[in-house]
Amino acid sequence: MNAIDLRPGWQSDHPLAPAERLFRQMAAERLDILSRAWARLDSGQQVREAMFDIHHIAHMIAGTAGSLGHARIGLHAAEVERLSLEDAGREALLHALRPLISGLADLLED
Amino acid sequence: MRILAIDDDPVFLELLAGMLKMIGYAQVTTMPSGEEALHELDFSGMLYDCILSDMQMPDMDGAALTAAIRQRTAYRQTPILMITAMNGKNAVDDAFAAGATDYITKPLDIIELRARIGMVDRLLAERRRLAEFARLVGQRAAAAEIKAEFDTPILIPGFDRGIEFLAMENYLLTLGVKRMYSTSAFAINIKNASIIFNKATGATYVQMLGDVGAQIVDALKTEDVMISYAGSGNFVCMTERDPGQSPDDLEILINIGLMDFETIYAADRLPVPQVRVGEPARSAFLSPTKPTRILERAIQSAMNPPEKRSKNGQMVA
Repeated sequence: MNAIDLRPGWQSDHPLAPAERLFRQMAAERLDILSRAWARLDSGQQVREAMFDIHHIAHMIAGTAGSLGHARIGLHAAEVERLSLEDAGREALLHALRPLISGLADLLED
Repeated sequence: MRILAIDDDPVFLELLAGMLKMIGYAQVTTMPSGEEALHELDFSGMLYDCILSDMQMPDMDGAALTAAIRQRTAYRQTPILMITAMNGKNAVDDAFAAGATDYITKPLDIIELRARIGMVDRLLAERRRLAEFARLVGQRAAAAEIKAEFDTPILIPGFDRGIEFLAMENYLLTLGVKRMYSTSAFAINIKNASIIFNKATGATYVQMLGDVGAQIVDALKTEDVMISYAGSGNFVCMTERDPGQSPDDLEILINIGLMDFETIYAADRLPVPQVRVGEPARSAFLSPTKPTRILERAIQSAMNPPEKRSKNGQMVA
């Protein structure tokens, strides 16, 4: 990955560049986990495992995305994390997951 | 400053290391779990100045890690900062009880990070000054230098129930409005602390503080009390429960316990420490004062003889 992949204005030697690179690298894996969890939640199968994955991934994204300039993804992740902590209904969680999943997908297409 | 950072998210560790580098702290080692962090502390041969740990981690969480770190002699006093999501702020209670110094919220804000790490830097500088002071005391250096340190809050060696005064202040700042109103603080003043300070060596003075601390613990009827030494001969206790005894009863119990040390102090030609227990201080409803004000009020009450206190007993900050 080169400087073009970094947040606009950040050179490859910027102190946050390694974190940004890793965030993007891991976005694919995290998108995959969230998409599979979404499908399990939607079908009502292995819901507990799906909830665990969703909370875990959302927690990690919420803790870093905003600081790396991905404010919208960070906010969507924080909302998903909040809903999963509060045991909100399946529908609410599925609804909140959509913009997070599409945000990560957009990031990968950048 | 050598920093050890622990988090199960590799992205967060890179981000934290990058931000620390931006504010001038480049010596950062990262670990993905509590277990690996403990292994690093035990076997790397490196002595870290500060530990930053995520609160929510699988297997060993931040509070358990803090407790394990505090069991290691070399890390009894090392600043440990918890990193927690905004919605996990209540969980830092356990970490404070286990010995954490402060906390930082996720997502990281560089201004907050700079402020918190700057606080750690000042704390370490103060400790270095204290170590130098202890060396000077050992050499019976100038009395003026010794007097200047009487006010300093210290973590008393061997007094395991004590937490740092700074940690107590930080803990108060984490409490929400509701818990703030249910929390009270009271102080215990060693009335003849300055006399003992001027007559004793530094080591004997600190030993005396340890004796008083132990008597406070023995006299208190509950363990749900945080205790800290605030300097100038004042201990501060903070609790969310009713201590179960009046200040007068507590004062008598502590002073009786201290009399057991009479012969030891006599051998050093020192008076036995005598304490005064102040009235509990609470936050007033709808009061705009800062949360740490109750600590100041508690100390004020213990330092003043009862006849100078408010007539209704309890002090309101």
